[in-house]
Amino acid sequence: MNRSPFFVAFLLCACLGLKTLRAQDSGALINALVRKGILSNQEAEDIRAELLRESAVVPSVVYGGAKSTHRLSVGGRLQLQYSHLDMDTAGTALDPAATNHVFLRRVYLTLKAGLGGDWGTVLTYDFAAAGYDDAFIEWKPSPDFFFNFGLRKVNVAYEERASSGNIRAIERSSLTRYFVESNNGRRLGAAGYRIGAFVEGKVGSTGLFYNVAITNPERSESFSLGSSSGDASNNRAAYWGGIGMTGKNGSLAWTTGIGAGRLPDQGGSGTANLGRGSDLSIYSAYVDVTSDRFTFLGEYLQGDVERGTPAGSDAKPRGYFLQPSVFVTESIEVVLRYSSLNTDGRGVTLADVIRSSPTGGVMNRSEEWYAGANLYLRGNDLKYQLGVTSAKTRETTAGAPAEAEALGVRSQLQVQF
Amino acid sequence: MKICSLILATLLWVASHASAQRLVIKGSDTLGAKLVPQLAEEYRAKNPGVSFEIAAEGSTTGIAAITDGTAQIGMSSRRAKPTEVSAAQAKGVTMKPIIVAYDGMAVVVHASNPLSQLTKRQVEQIFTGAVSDWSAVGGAPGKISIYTRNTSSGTYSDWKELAMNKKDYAKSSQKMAGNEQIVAEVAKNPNGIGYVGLAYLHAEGIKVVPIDGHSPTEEEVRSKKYPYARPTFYYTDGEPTGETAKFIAFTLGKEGQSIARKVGFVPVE
Repeated sequence: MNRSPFFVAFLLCACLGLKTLRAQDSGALINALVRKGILSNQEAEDIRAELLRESAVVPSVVYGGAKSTHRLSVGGRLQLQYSHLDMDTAGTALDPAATNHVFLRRVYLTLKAGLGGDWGTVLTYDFAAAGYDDAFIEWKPSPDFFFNFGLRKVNVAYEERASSGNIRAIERSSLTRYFVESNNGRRLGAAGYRIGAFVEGKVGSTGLFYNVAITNPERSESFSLGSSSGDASNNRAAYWGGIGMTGKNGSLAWTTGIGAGRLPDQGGSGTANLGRGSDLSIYSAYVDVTSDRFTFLGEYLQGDVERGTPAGSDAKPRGYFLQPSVFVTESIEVVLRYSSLNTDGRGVTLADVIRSSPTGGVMNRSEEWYAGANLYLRGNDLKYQLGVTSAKTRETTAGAPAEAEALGVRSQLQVQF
Repeated sequence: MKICSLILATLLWVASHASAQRLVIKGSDTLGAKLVPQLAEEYRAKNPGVSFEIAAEGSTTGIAAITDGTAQIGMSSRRAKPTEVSAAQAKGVTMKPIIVAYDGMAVVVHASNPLSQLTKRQVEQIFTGAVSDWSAVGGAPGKISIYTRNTSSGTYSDWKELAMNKKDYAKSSQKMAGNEQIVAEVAKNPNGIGYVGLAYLHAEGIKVVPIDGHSPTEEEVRSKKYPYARPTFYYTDGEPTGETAKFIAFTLGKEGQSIARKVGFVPVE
């Protein structure tokens, strides 16, 4: 190439030295230098990239507090929710008062730090619930698998593990709530937040993925439980495992898998029986399919609870949910969900499975319907959700006829950054 | 105790597989559907200890993968946007572009379409929806069906910039996941029109329409006379090192560029 070194140096200084010169303004000059053979195309790309970096407005700057912190990022999630849930209990003269309230559902602040050498840490605090959502140390020796040590959700119960920022029906299904939310003598308190060691990975490009974990048996979602050194009700470790496949063919993408958890001493009926030899197991099977604008999510959950009913017999609570959704425009998505639960004599109230709902008495079965729409204003980072929830519990744990219904609307505004 | 042993064995098995060399490459469908898998296959034949994970879900995903540190190489059929460079810088990532090959975005119509050429202006009118019937651009009467890439695609935004003066796509346009889907739809629809990379022009049922007298040939793309010519990129976090650097050198070497030409791209030199 026929270059004068001084000429090239002058032009490059002109490009790189002028603070006010924007990258896009210099495009014509760079193109001219390429046309004249003074710069190669790759050299031109390097200069374009350098100019872009020079002129880039860094959206936020975060500095690490320790010497080995080489990356630190900050994220957040704010969910403002409104619930109006009315209740009708069959055969009663006076129904419970309706719920009609606006509240902060989640206020997350997340810090992620990279420490080099494949080590990092994630801290997510939920100011709305006054507890940690994530607090773990991560070691990722390969792109294919990683270890987490600390507090996070176990990877059993697919809907529970999925991010709360992506829930299409505002709240998780009544089925997931029954199996996962804290043990109150009816709900199982299986899966969800645990403290322990977690391993997750995938097998090459086969689509096969797996996870195993050893954790404390009790669900941890508050300061007191997170820092507890344990007692007789939770001194045996819980074991978790799962395996699944994910694949893609054109616009069709799918994930399917199974998972199981074994929680020694966490069975029995009522929280007073924890740590007294009754075990609890949970099993899940799920499928998540997306094709163009259509998504389908379905999951089956089953539990084995030793002496899990008030009468002292073993219980096998089980159920499923089905959730199709479709984008009717680029930014509006319609969602339907049906959820069914049979507690096998253990019992459930509407408040156990429908967040913010009045109680309505202990029954054996529950069903939930949800129909709603999501408006994605800035993708998933800024969205508005509105839906109608209808739920029913029926039949006493002894099998006698009974029924309670809840009906209402729920809406939520979400911002993520 | 048995469960503990099983978990321990699983952990050891997992750890033993961690030492294998693995390159994760994510991004552009234009590069990742044909060219990069062939390059990877050839590279692996010469370097048996190396394995690849290639995900071709659009240039946006490739650039994001470099920013997030989930891939060693991000494939892109467009340059990184200022906002993407800013986001990368905020995370301490330096976006390094490396030209892999050149591509021309060809306008394709059904093989039976009598149209012999289009002007740049007509292409803009068609894809923005200003013109909706073939008779308005010299074709046989019929409602034009537009097939485009989806929004995570670099080709989607490149086309908007190069062919549509940054105007919005017609509301009636249908978004496809990849080049192959566009070719398949246009081949089925006598009123269809779309744009695809050079590597996808050999399918049956379609024909390429010259633009202002220029066709997307190697010479026209290299000389940039063809109006919709563009470079394609690998992006890395700073200067590539180790196996990543070796694979990039292979891509840009004689053998890699020969594969690029065979697939349908225009080599760098």
